[in-house]
Amino acid sequence: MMIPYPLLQVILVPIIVAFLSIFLGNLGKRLGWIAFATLTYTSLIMIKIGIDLWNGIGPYYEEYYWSTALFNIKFGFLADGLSLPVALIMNMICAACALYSIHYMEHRIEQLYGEERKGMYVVYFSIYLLFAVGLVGVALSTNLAQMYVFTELTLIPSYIMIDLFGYVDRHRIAMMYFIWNHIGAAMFLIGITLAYIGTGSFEVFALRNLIGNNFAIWVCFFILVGWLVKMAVFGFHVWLPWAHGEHPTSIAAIIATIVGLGNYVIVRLLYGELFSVFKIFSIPLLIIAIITMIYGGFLSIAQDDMKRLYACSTISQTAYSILGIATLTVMGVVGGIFYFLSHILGKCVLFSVAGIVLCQTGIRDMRKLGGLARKMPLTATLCILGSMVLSAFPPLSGFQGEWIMFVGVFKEAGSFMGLIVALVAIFATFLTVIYTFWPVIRVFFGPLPSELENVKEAPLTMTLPLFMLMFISFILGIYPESLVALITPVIKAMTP
Amino acid sequence: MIDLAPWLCWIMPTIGSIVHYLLPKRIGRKRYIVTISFTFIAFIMAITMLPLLPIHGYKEIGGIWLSLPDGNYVEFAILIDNLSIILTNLVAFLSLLILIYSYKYMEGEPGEDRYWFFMSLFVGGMLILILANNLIFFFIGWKIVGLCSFALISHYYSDERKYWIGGPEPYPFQKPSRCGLKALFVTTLGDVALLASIIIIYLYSGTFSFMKLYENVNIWMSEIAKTPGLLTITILLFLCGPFSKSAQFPFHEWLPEAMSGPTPVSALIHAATMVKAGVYLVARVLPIFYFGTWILGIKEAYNFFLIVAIIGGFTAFLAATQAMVAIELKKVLAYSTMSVIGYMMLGLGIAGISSETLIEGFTSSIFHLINHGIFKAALFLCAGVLIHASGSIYITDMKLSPKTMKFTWIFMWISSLALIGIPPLSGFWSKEGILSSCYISGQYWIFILSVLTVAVTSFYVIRLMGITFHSPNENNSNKHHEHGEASKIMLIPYGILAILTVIIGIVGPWIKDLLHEFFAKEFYDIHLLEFHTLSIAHESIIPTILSIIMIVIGGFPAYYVYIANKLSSISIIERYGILKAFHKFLWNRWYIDSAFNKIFAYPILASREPVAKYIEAGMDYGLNIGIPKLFEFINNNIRKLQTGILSINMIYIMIFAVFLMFIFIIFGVM
Amino acid sequence: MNIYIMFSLVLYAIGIYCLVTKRNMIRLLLGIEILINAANFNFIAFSRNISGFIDLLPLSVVTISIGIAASVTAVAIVILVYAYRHYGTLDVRELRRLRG
Repeated sequence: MMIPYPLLQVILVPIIVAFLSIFLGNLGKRLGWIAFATLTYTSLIMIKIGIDLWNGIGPYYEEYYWSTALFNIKFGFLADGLSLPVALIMNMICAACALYSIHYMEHRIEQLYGEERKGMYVVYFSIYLLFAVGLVGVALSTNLAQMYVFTELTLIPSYIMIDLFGYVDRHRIAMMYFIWNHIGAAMFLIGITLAYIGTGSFEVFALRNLIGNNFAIWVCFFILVGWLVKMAVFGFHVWLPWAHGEHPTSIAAIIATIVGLGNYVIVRLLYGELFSVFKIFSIPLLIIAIITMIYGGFLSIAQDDMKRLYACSTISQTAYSILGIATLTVMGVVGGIFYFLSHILGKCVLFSVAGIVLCQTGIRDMRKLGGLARKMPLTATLCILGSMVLSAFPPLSGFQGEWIMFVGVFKEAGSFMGLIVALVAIFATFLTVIYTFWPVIRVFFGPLPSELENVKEAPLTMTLPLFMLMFISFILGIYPESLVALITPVIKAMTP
Repeated sequence: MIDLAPWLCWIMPTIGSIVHYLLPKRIGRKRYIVTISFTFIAFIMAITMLPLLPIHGYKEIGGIWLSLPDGNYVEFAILIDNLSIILTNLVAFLSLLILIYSYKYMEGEPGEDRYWFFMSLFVGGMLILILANNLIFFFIGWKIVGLCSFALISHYYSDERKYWIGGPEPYPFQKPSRCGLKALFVTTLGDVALLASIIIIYLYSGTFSFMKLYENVNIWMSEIAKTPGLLTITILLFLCGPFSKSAQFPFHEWLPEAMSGPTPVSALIHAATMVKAGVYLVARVLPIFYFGTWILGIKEAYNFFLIVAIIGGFTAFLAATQAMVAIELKKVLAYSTMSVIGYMMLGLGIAGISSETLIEGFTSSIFHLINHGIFKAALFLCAGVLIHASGSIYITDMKLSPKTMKFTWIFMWISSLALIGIPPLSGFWSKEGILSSCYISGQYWIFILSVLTVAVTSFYVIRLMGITFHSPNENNSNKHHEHGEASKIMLIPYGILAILTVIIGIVGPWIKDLLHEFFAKEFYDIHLLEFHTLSIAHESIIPTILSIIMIVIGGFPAYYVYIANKLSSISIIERYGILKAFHKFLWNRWYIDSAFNKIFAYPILASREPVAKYIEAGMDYGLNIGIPKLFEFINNNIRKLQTGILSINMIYIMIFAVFLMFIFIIFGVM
Repeated sequence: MNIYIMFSLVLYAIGIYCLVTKRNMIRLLLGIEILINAANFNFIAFSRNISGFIDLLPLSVVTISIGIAASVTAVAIVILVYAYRHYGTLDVRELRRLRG
């Protein structure tokens, strides 16, 4: 059956619901169910498009005129093999976290604002829907100006969230997060403007006309560095432990997704359109990725605070995907995107587990926790599942992403030095096992301290969506063809 | 039907792992019988594959799973050839018996649901590993068993005092959760190296499937050999995987600690099956490297066999000496497992070192694998009964009497004698095969080492039996536990195993010849390996005689001290200082464990603070606080320019006017 | 003509010097007066471009300017008087309340 304007619906429906929910303040926390329903609806639309793509019906393209006056900008959406899985999985994570945040935000708003401020639920859930719009919009958009708008649409709600609902020192950290990410977005904007001057159009596909122009390397540079700042590579990572440690945990997955979104943008814009220029950046990007992986790994091992640990691990895991993309081989890029998707699934679960522990016990410091598996068996299972995804244990999806990516990395390693680099990269994955499984035994195994005797298991609305996400990861793990067959033709077409 | 059997074989236990969660809780412990029945189906499926053995062919069943972007593909398929049929049967049989045993053993233990989930998943994973036809599918099974091993070792995760293992006071104890983590880390380290080498091999050969690797070996191995050193690096990385899974030096430290799980876990995972996975992998790829060394003439491929043999022989000796002084029952058995697997690796390594010993070495190794699986499982199951009966993990505390536990005593003696290698029990034939192939191949140093290990083996085994069952009954009257014979459900599994040991021992030579035939034809037909069959003149009686002499040399002092109790071991050690130093050296596991702790664990833990405090905080300060401070500094100073004082503002005006004048004069505007 | 322009420059410099160095508000006012006069004089100097012919435009501008100068001075004196009454001193450096 034909759904009219599916991609436009995916973007507009959450915005409309977000706007309408301003008037529904009385519902209080039940707004969360409305948000969840909305996001499930958009996911279903995208699944339908996905099935169409799988059956061979071509990439889905929609186009609307935005402004013909001065710039002739079109507002377009493209759902092809690369953008649809990314958008779909991001949307499903948003849906799961909407369900998760119902109970979490009840706890948090009560803590911060007291019982009477039901209005804060409205603020939270209406802004929450904007996240989904922003993320999916970046993935689906075909126009650079539109992509920039959606990028900022992911940034501003997250600033608001951290400022209103965050933890320690939240105003300062929210401002710091905003400034850092905005610098990245501003550099992206400079790149876009240069591209416009060079080609006269904002379309993504027009970028390939830039090759041969000596603007091209500057466009590439600015877009790359802008997104690298947002992806928190080694030099630019200092904001991430703070921002990802102090945010309200229910949007944790979403902020982690924003960090990883750069992978998709780099593949779509730089790898896809400006390949010959992007080649110049391949080796520096490889080196930065490896340094970030190792540094992120050691930094995560050094943490004692549960949320900050998973925050630092985001630094390391995003670098894996950058490593895959930097190898400029089809296997590497496919593996990189696969790993990015599997990472955000696993990271959502892990952060949510940290949030559950925080919500139920009120303690974040792992030195004071222990033995919780007895009281919270479902949570312990989720933590182990999430750790399995990050550490690339089959049958979950992390394994597939990792080995496909490393085939690409090893292929690129022409010389002996390259081999050493590839071996170092693969040993950095060993660090992942350390910092994911060690917290499992620190928090969940061992004896139960007496203060934690009354801890109860989290309600099902918190654990069930996470199990659903792990189920998606399981499907990707045992049938990776479902994802690889969609992405590979697109990447192959992009590689000369 | 035959086609479906191997698929059911591994699918059934994997599904069975969640079955008991779905059954209603009212049935109680009978749910677990359903779980066991899934493994039983797997066993039946494995038996139906046995008739395929004489066919000497191979069969691959399955289809494409994942098409890779560069045109190759990964299959989701089963490989059935002689090696995998034999091992499948072994694994399914042992798993079934051990699961039946644990039905009774785990009665009353906490967390049984979790236990059965991971045990059944483990059996499924192990079968995936054996039946897989390509390296990726194999690796999936490999990792699944690693995960289940972690979960089962830390089964008693709440770390209660009674589950701690480790020395009696004042030696340090280990908690179960930490032991599980250690196992996970060490095996993951090996896994990562294995993955790296699998990828390197893939890049040169374009395939993951074992059979295709065999067929194309002349193409890809010559390609790798063109880069000097690359093949050696690949081999080294590749071997890290089996060495870590099978607990060989230098990855062996996790196995003694892995004994903190329940005894059936130790029996299944750490004696009978998972540690054999490494041996299986080496055996699987052995024909490839043999082809490379002897037929293609690539010198570097020879390193494969050299490394396997040397590490195997060394570990055998290392572990056996550590078992001489251990006083925890399961630790002795763990060390003995490491030692025997060292023998198996030695056999596989010797199989390639000289082209005459291929069949002999390979067959003895696999035969030893089968035998060891059987008698070690029996030993571990007996150990479980003993630990339950006496309530202590230390053999010095057990003080059990053979009279009350008659069957257990008999079965344990049978299994121990098989371990030592006394004819006509099963262990004798296989061990003797390994030793003679070692002798024939001409590697005399390794031969001497392994023969010495025979002596040490017999010493520690007799010591074990002696201290457990035949210690002097000084306080015979105050037996702290009234223990009787083990219950039938626990007794029958290891009874079956012990009797099987005897039976295999009696028909040993025929089985060995049968295996010779299977593998020889397989190597010749499929892998096109040429080898020289042993001429009768080469077969020598020396290794057999030497081994029997060594058994006596090792066994007699042990008998004297421990069984006949003529001398007290403690007083001997106290009297001779050198023996005391020797004891201390062995007790501390040759100081390898502490060395690894110092080299690997402490630096990582010690790096936590500097990284967080100096590097991260430094960068954080520099960027997050430094830049605002910089702006603040600039701000404050520029603000000072804005005085409210008219005079100063006028000076600014004047300066600007002068500046303008200069510009006009220089540029001639006017 | 040049000498007249130079004279007005000298007047300008004197005016600036007065504004820079003097503290007394009335002296500042006189300095402003000198500046205005310098500007007027400059205009008049330009009316004598071509010999034998006097341009009348600058003269009319100067006339208006003198008128404006007078009003400015008047307003300035009023502000001065009030400032004196408020601060009690004629020192201009005391007027700092708006300084950030």
